[in-house]
Amino acid sequence: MGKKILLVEDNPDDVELALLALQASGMENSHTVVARDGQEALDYLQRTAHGSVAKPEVILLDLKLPRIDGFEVLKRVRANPATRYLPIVILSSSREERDLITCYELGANSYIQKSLDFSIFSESVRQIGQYWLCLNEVPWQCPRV
Amino acid sequence: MQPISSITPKWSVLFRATPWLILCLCLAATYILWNNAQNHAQARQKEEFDFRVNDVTADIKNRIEGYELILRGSKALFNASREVSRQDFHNYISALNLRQDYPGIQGIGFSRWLSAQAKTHRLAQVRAASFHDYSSHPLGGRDAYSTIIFIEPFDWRNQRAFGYDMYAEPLRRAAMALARDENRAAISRKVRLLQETEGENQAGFLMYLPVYRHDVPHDTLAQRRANLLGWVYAPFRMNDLMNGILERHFGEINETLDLEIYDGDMSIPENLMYVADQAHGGHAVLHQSRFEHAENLELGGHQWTIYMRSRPGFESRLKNERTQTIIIAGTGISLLLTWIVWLLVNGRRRVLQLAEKMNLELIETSRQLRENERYQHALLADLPAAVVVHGPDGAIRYSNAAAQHILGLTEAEAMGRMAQSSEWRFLHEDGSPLPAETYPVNQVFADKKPLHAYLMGIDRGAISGKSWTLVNAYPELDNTGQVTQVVVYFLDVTQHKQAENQLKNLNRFYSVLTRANEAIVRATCQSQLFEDICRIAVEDGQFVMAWVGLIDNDLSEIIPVAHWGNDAGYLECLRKVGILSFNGPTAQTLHTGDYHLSQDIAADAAMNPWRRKAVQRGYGSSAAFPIHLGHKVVGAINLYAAQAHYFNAEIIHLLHDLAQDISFALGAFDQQDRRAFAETQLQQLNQELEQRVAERTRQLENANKELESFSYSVSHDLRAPLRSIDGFSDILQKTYADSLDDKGRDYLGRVRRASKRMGELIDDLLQLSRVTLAELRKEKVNLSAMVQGISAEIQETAPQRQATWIIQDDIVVQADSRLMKAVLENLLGNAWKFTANQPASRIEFGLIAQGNEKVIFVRDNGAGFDMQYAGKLFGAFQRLHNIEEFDGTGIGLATVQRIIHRHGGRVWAEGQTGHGATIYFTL
Repeated sequence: MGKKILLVEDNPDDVELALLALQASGMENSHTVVARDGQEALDYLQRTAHGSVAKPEVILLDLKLPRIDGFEVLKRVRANPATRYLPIVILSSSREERDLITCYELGANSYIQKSLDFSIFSESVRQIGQYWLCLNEVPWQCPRV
Repeated sequence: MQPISSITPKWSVLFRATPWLILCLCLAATYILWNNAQNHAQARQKEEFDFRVNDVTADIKNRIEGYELILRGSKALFNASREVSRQDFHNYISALNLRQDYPGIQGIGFSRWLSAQAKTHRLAQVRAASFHDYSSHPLGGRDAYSTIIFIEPFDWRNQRAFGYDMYAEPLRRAAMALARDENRAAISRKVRLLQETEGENQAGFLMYLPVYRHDVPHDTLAQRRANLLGWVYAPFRMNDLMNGILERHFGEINETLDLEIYDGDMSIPENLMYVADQAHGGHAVLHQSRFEHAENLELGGHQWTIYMRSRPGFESRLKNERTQTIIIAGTGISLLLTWIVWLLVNGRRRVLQLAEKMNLELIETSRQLRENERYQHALLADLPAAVVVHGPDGAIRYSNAAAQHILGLTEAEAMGRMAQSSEWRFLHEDGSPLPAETYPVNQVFADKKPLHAYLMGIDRGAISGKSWTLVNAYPELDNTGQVTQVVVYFLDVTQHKQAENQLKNLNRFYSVLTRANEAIVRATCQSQLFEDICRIAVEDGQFVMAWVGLIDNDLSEIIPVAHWGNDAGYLECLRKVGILSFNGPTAQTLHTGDYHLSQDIAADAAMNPWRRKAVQRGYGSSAAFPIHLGHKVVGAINLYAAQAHYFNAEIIHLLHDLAQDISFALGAFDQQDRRAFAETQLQQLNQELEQRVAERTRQLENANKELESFSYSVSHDLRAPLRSIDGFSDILQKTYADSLDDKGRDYLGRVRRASKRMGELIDDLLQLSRVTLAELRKEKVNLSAMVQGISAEIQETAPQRQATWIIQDDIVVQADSRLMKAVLENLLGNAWKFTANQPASRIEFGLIAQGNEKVIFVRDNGAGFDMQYAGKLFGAFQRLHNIEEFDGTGIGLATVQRIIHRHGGRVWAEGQTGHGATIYFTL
């Protein structure tokens, strides 16, 4: 099992575009797990605790999500000792100041605005993948499953 | 009189010594008792000590005799057998279980008596029995030898003695010889046993018993010497032996008694065989023993000296509780007895002294009493207060000058009179006559208690009129509680009483005024005030009735609006008749505006229509005082007193004040009414306004909230579809370009441009809405520095462009820095954009003063605009240029305008097509 990315995004177009961008940067689609809403994302993370699925290297998290929104997901991931150190990159259309503040306060590692320009968007997704999968280190205490 | 205490001078010394004699006797008796007890205890101790000595001695003796018996047993073994083998001996001794049952015995052995030639033979015999290194020692040529051939138990310690020739050693030989010659058990002197080692050295001794050939007689000394086979013997280690013997005494010996055993009959240190307490070493203890005893003990033809001493532990029993109790109790009782006797002896003396003192005091007192009596009479006679003394029958027994004056009698006339008399009347405080039983003197006779400060009038009718007195009366009682006399003091307070009455009246009217003023302050409406005033006049001013009337202009009549007191339909009657139709005080007051009186209603013709009714209701006199509103008389207050001629100048003055106060209050009420009305209206208006403002505010807040949530969702959701459009068209363009023709590709390009522009529009709209909603935080902002920063950023986007930036320094304003940045970014961005087609851009930022106003401007040499559209410039989505010429959303200047307006400033533009534009703003 290679390194995984958990993409939490409800808009199928954005999912497709993100997957294309990751593909363009050399990531195979099988390495990206897509959750369509916050609940699905949390369920997936729950399964990593049992060891049935791989723990992602990074979570790309949209804020406006059905059922459980991005803020809540962020809060719960940080509250759970097993996932506390998981890198979370917020990927949102919004550039509202209050969204930024809330996310960083809840412990987001990074905040990226989804650019309308696809070339910029795809470049930022590529960089995210490279940075968090290849360069970033997480503490070993964080239990890897 | 002779002092009592000096009657028996020579006995008194003896008396005083008695306690001390008693103390000496008691202490002596205590000592004798204690001494007896002590001697007795000592005798008992001595007995016990002797008993212990005997006990220990007997134990030692018994044990030694026991050992002798064992030796005899061993001897019997030899006698009974022809030849005793080592094994036989071993078996026999083992069976005795020596160490267990006879502690202290080191072993039992047999020493063979040998001639010189027999010795050599014997050596060989023993060696043959596998003791190859057996030898007799000490070596040396003697004519006779003894040698230890058996010793049991055959342990390492005893093996040291194996083969030893004891006969060669003088001390042992002496005992051995004695045993042999006398055929008895013999004990050696103190020796050092062969069994001793270097480490532990105990004194020792041996016990021998001769063994003769049993088949021949040995009655004579010669026979015994000839027939000797050897000796059974036992070596003893003294400490081990004694520890065994003393086992049952052990605690006792160590704690309470010293025990030493000496060899022979001399207790000298080199003969010391045993000391009970090894640790203390016997002599080391520095203690003078109370008891000691030396006992000679004859053992096996040998003497030991047993020496015992008591130790402190033993002697301490002497100080037993009994002797101590005797000492304490004896001393205590002695002291107690001494004290009691001392008290008895001295008590008598003190009583005598006290009696003498009292006697003297009594004489002095009776002298003082007689003197006092003289004083008192002199004092009473001239006292300004009146004093009368009544005897038990009530008759006057004594009166002083002041009393005679008040009663109008001479001393002789007063003598023997009773309090009840036809010549005077005693009066109550209110002027009514006192019944005889409440006369002060009679009250005191009845109650047998003093009477204080009783105010009483004395009316002597025509003789000298009324006088007022303050009376104090005191009974004097004899032993049986009977009143022997009553002393009555009076003080003439007539003048005080008159002054007081006057004061009381005035006080009452001041109180009326005070309470009326309180009512005025407290009153909330006119009718209540009038009623309060009438009530106060009746309750506090003690008028019979009071009423207030106001003029009714329509009826031309005065209408009673409030009253208090005994009215009983009087006012109703007044109204029926019509007050103003007649000339009573009320009507006159209203006509003249001044007060009017009817000092004696019963005799006043002006009161005619109501006179009978007024008199029936107890009205003696009446007064009416005008009530004003402004300068106009609007009513009157009317007061009725019980007495005729009640209204004197002072009362009139005070009532006049009262009427003025009422008028003042009336004026205040009037003003208050008018003001209250105005206030109510104002309040209503205010409330409506507040409501409206609250309503507006709520609406505004709602609108703001909606706008906020709208723009928030826009920023999240509106962009997403654009990204899809841009993203997928990009992929189409790149990946599927071959499937499209030129036209298709052109359309795709349009789609992408449109979506991009849409994104920009959304961003600008969001900025505009943020500007509107954001909270304004004013602070000092250096706009010049800000412009420097922005211009550098702009220049960097196209470094190759020729541009001159003219920026005036130090333009500092009070504004929201975030919003000002948006303003400058927009204005400078516009200037940059519209000068793009110029060969050299020139952008200027500065400040000019117009009158008192500071006007800030951004000027460029760009495309400019037609002034006739200057008004459209600041509207949202208003563009003056083709989008292909200059891009942009048309929202920038709208944003600028909104920010400036929010700061309370103005913004305007000047320009000319092709000749640049200038945007001005103030803050």
